[in-house]
Amino acid sequence: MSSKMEMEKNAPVLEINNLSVGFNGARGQAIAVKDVSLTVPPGKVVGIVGESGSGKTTLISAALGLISRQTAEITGKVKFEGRDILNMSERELRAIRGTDIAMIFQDPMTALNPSMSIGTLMTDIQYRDRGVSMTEKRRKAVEMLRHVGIPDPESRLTQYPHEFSGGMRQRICIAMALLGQPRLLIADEPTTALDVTMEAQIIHLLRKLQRDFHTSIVFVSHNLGIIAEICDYVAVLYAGCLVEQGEVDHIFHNPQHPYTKALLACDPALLPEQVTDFPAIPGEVPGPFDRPTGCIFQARCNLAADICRQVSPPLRPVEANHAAACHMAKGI
Amino acid sequence: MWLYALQRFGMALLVCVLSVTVLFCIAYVIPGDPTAIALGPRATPAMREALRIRMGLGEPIYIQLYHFFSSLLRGDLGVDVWSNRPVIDIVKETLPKTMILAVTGLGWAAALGIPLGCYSAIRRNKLDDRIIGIFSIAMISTPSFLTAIYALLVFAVTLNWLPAIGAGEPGNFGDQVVHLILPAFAIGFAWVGYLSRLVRATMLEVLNETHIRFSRAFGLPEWKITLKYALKIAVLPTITLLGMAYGGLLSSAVFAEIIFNRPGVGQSALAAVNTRNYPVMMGLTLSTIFVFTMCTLIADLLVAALDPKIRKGL
Repeated sequence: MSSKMEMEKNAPVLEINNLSVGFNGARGQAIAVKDVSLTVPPGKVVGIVGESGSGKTTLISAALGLISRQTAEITGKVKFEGRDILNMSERELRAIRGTDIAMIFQDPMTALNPSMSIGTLMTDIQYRDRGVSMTEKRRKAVEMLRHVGIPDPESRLTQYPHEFSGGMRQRICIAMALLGQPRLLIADEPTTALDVTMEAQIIHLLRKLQRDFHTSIVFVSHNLGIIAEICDYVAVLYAGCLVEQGEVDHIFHNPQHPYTKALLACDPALLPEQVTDFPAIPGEVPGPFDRPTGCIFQARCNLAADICRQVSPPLRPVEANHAAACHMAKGI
Repeated sequence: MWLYALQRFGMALLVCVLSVTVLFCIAYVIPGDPTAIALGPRATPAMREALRIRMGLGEPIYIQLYHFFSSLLRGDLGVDVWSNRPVIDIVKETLPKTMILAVTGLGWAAALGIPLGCYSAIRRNKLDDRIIGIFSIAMISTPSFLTAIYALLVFAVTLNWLPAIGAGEPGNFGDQVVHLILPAFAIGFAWVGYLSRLVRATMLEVLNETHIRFSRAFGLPEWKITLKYALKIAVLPTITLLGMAYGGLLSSAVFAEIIFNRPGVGQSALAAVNTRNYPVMMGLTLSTIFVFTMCTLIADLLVAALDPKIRKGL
């Protein structure tokens, strides 16, 4: 870990060290995530940004023990509050899920079981509280629904998922996730399936809840604007490799990796008005089977030199709380 | 929900009316003179003509159809050509017996097939899933008459545990139950395989849906996810299939009734065909159509009641 994030005084909630994930197939090994290290400090929001297929979802799935060792080769270490997640039994993992780590998904339209009422869904996940009465469980559910901004929650408990809009369903998912008072919330593109106004509301809500409950959040997205809005730290993922990470202000105002720069240049929100050609990064993302030696971004990089074709650049600090994996970036 | 139920009921009624009309028309265009069969080869043309007028066969088809439906509404299905008994009595006597046989046959098949399918889905591609798969396919491919005959040979003839023929003494419940076991076993046998395969397939599909992943993210126990969260959705196509299967079993119970010599729709229908007893045939076919349509209707309504989208939306 070369980043200075670990200088934070509190022990990190989630610590990923040199995590690699490869899927073995007929054509050889497909590398989805390569040598990623990431730290989530308590009470902070860490954004993981990258294009589709950059390994965002694989990274968090592997980090939570959701990928079976039978189908994938996983190396490295993942520690949740000091406990090694990758070597946990299914039973131990189950004990963590919902209470210590909770997740919300991309598409709220399919995340809730259509055959059950919201009340049933929300009381069922409190199954660990054996001594607690049903009325108490429902009361807690109502309280949490009110917290995430669902009007008239008592009467809505008997309703079914299809009776709610997409934004409301995502609020319900968030309420369910927070019911166990987790210390870590993984949000996998929670606003991608929503329209823009809903997106803003959900981001606002997550921000507020994060302060209220002091939960750490890992926020996965491909939307730079949202990352900038909600995150404290950002990690930029390209073809399964971490190319740049650091405090959100540094990344956005002083990007060091050519990929991050190109990504920011392509953000429609940051473009001047009335452009006829949208800027795009030339070339293609290297496939999981044909990864080049040297820098992963070299083929599309306008700064690529000989060293980039031979040596893979390590992630090294470029300023306080900011590191980039580029030979051309000026180190400290 | 009530509107939906009413719609489905209307549809079912329409299906009944249409199929009865088609049936009637088929009987009308089939070559052969019913009077000649009824009166035998020695009847004179005058006798045949008299019967034809008495039976209303001289009228145009729509008038005949009108008479047919109006008597149907009065519960009059005509009389048995040979015994002069009202056909409705024959239906009342035989249909319940066949229905009980079909319910028992399908009941044990569902009771075994659905849990087997669930278990297979949870243990997908493991050894026990494969074994269940092989047995299911074997059960599906065994012709039911073969099952019936072998069941008869093994349990009735060789082991002598169960009675081979008949439906048991009237009024003696225990005896009737014992007589039901072998035929029910025979007609349900293939359905165990069908149901276990269907439930496995739909279950696997549901278990792959996002909401199941979401439930797992809360650490809910796997058995609860399977039995409560997934089965509730996966069982819907099975209910539809069961509705149709029940109707289908009414007709496939025919062979079981013949092999085990049980009174029922199948036995009576066979006898009626052999003796060209058209009113009885017609009455039995009609009642089978009616029961079949009602079963699919009930299955549809049950599915609707289990699906909150339909239950609350209509």
